[in-house]
Amino acid sequence: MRTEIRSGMGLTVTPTKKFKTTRIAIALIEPLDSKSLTKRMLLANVLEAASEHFPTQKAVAEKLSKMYGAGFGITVERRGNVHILNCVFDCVNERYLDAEEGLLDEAFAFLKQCIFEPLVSNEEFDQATFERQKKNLGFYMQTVRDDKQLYAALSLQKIYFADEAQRTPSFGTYEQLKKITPKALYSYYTECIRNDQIEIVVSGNVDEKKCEELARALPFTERQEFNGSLFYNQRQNFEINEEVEHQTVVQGKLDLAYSLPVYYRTADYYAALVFNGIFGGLPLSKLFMNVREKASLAYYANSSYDSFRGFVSVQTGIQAKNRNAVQTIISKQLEDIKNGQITQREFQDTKKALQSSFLSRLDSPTNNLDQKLVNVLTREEISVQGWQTALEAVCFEDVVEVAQKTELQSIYFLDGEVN
Amino acid sequence: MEIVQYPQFDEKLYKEKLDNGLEVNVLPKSGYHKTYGILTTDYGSLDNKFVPLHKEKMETVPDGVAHFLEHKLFEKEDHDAFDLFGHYGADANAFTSFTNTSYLFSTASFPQKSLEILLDFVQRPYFNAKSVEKEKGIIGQEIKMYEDDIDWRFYFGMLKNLYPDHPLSVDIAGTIDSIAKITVQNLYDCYWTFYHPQNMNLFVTGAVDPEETLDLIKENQSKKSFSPANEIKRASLDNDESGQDIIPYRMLELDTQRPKAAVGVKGLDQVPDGREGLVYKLRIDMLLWLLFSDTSTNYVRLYNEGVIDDSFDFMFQLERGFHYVSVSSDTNDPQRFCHEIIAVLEKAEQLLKGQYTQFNLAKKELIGRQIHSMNSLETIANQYSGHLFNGATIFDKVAIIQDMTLEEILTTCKDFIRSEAVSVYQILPKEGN
Repeated sequence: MRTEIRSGMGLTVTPTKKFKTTRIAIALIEPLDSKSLTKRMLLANVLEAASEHFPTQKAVAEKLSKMYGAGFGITVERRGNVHILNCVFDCVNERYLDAEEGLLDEAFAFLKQCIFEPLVSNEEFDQATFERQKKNLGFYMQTVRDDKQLYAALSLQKIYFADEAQRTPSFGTYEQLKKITPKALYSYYTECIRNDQIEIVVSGNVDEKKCEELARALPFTERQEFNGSLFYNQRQNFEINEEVEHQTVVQGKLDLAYSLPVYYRTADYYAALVFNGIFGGLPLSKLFMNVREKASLAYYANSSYDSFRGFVSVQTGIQAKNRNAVQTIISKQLEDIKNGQITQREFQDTKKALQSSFLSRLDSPTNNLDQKLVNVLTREEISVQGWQTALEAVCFEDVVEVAQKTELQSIYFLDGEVN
Repeated sequence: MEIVQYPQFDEKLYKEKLDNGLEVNVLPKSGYHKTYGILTTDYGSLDNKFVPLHKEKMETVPDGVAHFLEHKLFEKEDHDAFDLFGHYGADANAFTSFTNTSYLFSTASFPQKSLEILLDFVQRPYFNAKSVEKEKGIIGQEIKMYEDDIDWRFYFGMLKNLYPDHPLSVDIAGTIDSIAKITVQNLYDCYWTFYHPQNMNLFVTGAVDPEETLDLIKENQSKKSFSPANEIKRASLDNDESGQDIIPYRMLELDTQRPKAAVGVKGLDQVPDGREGLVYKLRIDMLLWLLFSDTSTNYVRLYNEGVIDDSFDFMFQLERGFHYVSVSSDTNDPQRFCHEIIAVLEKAEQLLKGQYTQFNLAKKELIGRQIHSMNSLETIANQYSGHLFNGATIFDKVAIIQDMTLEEILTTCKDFIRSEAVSVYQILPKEGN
């Protein structure tokens, strides 16, 4: 359960003996804004690289080694209409080490130093650290083009979403990056520290009281909680927009975007999970069976469902010359579901697979913590049993109904020229 | 049944070698929902020349057969094993490496049923010409996908430098031309030669009861008959130990965004057998950590001078019959990168002599990392070493790291790093990019 430490600052502790590690995440949450995506990505990298106490990467790395190979990283994530800058730390529980007690205190102290005491002089980030991270982020943005699967997914996102903040890659853009100065970033940082909603999530073999004490000692002031809608909603279009791009690649990529206005844990959510599983979300889905197994047209063909953005996307890697054939098969699969052409076996097996993967995710400390954060954001915690019952209750007609809400909106095709 | 206790980690490993030769390991994990099982044969893409079972002469099969067989084993006369796993809520997968082929499932629904499906589909082959032809299309796409994958090409570029004219320089999946030649007979020849239980091991971990699981496996095995175990005769791989065949430098121009450079070191020394092999491996891991991790002065200097960035990576790969190191990065100055890395390698001993503080810190780091990975069923089972290190598990590693001395690292370093074993590979963006 979430404990409010201060206004706009919460703590959720899950004591468990299952894992050999303790994991702490401090999430800074703000409304998604296209103007701050790049800044937040760069900020994550700058804060991770150095702080006043650990002014070089080497100092940070040595500190983590001293804590028995502790892991520390700051990640960014877009979830529906919010942006999460997540400072994640994990370390081995002392009972498995010849170590003295106190790793939890040390962990909180370390996080505090990284977040509150960055390497700064004259109200700007340390020039050398800043420039290095800025340059490296620029390089990363450049190399995305070399990862064709990712490149195709980002291109699809760009043509599908109307809202700038949704179309932009979550790591930002080069145009914005160029303009950021150490001073501007520092000033942005102080805003985040002052205004972002703070959610701390801890799991491991830990004492709840102790965690609360340590969280309370973090100098976050009172602030407002995010109170807008988490879900991004986009009106369905009647026309399909399409983009074809030519590159010298061996394998073409055909990616499709659909609107599915069904949101996380709302009425049809569980039916939407089953729908996506049958369509292309699971190994035995219609896409896999028909595009790959029956027609041998692809090595991968799958779909994914973003329940915070009401969005389903299909990704395939194919021979460019087979593009039309593949697209026809994909459309046919969706039509079939809309017409109720689902076998009992498909329906039941999909439910079983979803149940199994839901339970399996509980065995991963990372997934556990992510789920806790989502629960906090949606202010809704569901028990394992509750989740299973809700999924079980989905009937055949519910799935057909959800399928009928799914409309093709955008097509991105990366054409190959080389054979 | 033997029980190996690891009190430091609250873990117990149950192991038994069955009458038919199958090596079984079961590691229960309390509190877990999931069960993960992996069945591995000591056979991979390198094993393309051997004496097929019941024959007398060496035969060469087309490149990519091991991987092709892995794909085809799922398909049966009247069903697909993949489907059957799905029917019981299990995820299934398989992978082929240079020296192993593994089949696995993961489920939180019907672990016992899944385990039976795993054993049955791997132990009852069925191949036919029509489905073999069809698979060529799918694997063809897989090969093409990797051709667009610059990291994959980069990886193989170094292997081709270190092991020219050796099966290691050929993609695990083979080539479009080589897989076109694969026949049903090839698949059966490889299957009967390498899939005998004697050549395989099974590792099950997660929400399982060890006794019940072992009983179920024995019961399943007792219903099947296998030919008596034969000694497998593989062609010895031509591995020039003088290092003379190594290509010292190659580069490739591609439609890519940034230059990539790698320095490789081929292992020309002899890796000890059994558990000592694992000790050797962990020493080299430690050596690389000391030389190149972000706690090293070398890393920090190169990072700060902009020669390397966050893509910098180092790895040591050791499998049956080969071992090598590769240190790589995206870099704007590939020449300087290679020059700097080679310089570090050449004076490694000198750099590390007397560095006890760094060494003890690295020990802490590497021990912590091992314990971290004990949370993951996949890591526990996939790291089982089988024949390679005589059945060592992830739980054996911490004690080995604990006992290491800096002097041992330096000795191993001297044996391993030889100037004639070094090679450089680069991928550069095409002009006009």
